[in-house]
Amino acid sequence: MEQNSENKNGYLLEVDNLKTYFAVKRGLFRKTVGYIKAVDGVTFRIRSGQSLGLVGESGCGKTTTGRTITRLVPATEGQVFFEGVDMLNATAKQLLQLRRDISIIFQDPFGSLNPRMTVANIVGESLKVHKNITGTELANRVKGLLEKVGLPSDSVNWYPHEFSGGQRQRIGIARALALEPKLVICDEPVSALDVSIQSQILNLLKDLQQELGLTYLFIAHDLAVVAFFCDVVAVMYLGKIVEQAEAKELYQNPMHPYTKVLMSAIPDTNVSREGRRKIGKGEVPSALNPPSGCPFHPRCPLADTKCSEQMPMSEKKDGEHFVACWKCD
Amino acid sequence: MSENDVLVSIKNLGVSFYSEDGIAKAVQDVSFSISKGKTFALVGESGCGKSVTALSIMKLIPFPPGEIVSGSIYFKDKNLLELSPKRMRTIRGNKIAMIFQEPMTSLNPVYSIGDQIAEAIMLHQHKTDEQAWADSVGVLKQVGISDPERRVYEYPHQLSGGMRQRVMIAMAISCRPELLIADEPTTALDVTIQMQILDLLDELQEQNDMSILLITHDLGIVAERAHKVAVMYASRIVEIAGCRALFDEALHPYTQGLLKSLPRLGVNKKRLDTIPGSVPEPLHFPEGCKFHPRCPLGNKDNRCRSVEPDLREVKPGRFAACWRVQGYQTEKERLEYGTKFGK
Repeated sequence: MEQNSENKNGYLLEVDNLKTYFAVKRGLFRKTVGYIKAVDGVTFRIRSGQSLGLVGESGCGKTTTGRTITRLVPATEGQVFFEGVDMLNATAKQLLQLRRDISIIFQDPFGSLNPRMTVANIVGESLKVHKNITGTELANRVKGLLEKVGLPSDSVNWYPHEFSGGQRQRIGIARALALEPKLVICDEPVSALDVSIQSQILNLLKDLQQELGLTYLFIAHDLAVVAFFCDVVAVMYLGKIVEQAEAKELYQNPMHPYTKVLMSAIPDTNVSREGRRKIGKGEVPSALNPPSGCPFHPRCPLADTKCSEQMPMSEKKDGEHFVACWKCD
Repeated sequence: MSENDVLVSIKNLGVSFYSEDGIAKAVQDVSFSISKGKTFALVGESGCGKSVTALSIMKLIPFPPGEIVSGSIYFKDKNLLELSPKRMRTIRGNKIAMIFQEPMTSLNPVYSIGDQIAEAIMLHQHKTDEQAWADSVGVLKQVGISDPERRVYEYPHQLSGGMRQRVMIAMAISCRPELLIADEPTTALDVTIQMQILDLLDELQEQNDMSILLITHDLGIVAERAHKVAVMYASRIVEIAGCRALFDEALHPYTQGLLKSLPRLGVNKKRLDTIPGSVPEPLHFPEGCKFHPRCPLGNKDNRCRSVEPDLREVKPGRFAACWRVQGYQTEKERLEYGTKFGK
């Protein structure tokens, strides 16, 4: 596979000004009446072997970003480079290779596994399709994968319904790892799981990262989970990244008002009834009809007229800390 | 706390579900009481029986396959389990109301939200159409919905998730209940909206002097909202404590494990602590203490493996169900343990 400019600076994935718009059609002739700007100019990079977390509330475009990168949803504008290969304009042959290098773990451990397929088929399918592995070798590979994710290797002939939620998520992880990918996109991998299972899965993903040198794009709504799991965190709001920094830096020194709101809204076991803080009113506006200027200004405690008129650009503060806010100096 | 302050008192509640594969004991020997004007939280993982407990208070356990097999539920001086269905209907939705987890599926899509709120008001408070409609507008305003005069005519699909949950709450409080059961009221919502909804519940509690039974799996919410907490595991309550006391010092190994396995902002850890294994299923509960296969203490203890501990007061105001908690065993049991099980 040709590789122009051999992934400079050690970035495995580079996303530049990515936009994904969905046309809204109405009426008899399905006339386009507007666009939902699900992803609206997203830029980030992930170093090889690191994890980047995309956090935000529902409808902010974090899942669509993941899907656009894997070309499950067509991009409207922008560029995505994976190991220097332009993904959005890749040829069919390049794309086949990219499909091996990038895999996805889905949120819903119940909906994302075919109930009529055995575990062996679910995990082994991609090996059959991409690598033409069959027979005993396939069976051995599948067993190895199941062991790696902590499932009993005699469970190969079971069906998904015979497993608990946490085990099902392990099947999903085994499937994602089958082709030895470089980048794994985890779309809310633990949000459907119980607390005691959630920590098991997060630890497993971390161990696998160490062992296999994986790079993660970790999509989640829970800032505490992301801060634990990721090296770099990007906070999304209404299709835009409003703040991006190293996990520790972001936690210690949040700059964007939205990040602060998000952080203070996480219920914490160290806070009592009396010591609770209050947060502002308002809901996430519709992406079909976003507010002018900064998308957060209707809910922002600091907003003034400039915020409602002009969209702030993402600016580099100290180090690798990016913020898109007029009020952050 | 005097006896008069208690609004609901549950004693030895047992609920079973009958299936072809056997009897699933979904709730066993659950006892707790809810004080007037306070929030009591029931916390646990999925399948631990917390929702079944709540449905028992409403007497909404589907029969068959489910049945309340033992215990009593006193609401003030009435045992709800002995009331006729007709009497129960005058209490359900009126004195005791419930909000459900899924605001999307708990509302009827073909009626306007005004119709749905007014229905309960007309039924329970014998008001006319117009009065009930006016009350609906008032109650929508109370739950913080802007422009309620217009919103009453809207249908559930026209509202966002947070708004729908507000409508659910409006419906529940329309008859000024004394007890509000909130079953995972914010699980389907975003964190910022979650906070708004929980704040709203707090406000309403203060205004109406209402008791809340808050059912959740989120320990953070419990810490911030509850006065008293019961932790459930595999159909039993394993620990009851005042909220702050529980988070300062959890006694039961399961509670301790849960608290340790939470990722926290600002705490840098390479790995999270975990509870090994998974929650047992009601048809295949282990013998003895149901937590022992996952317990760091109970694994090697013969008594944990064979005798199920009941809930006892281990120190003032603290209840736990664990052989290994200090102060749990009686002197007699300690002696028996020495002879019967060996050390």
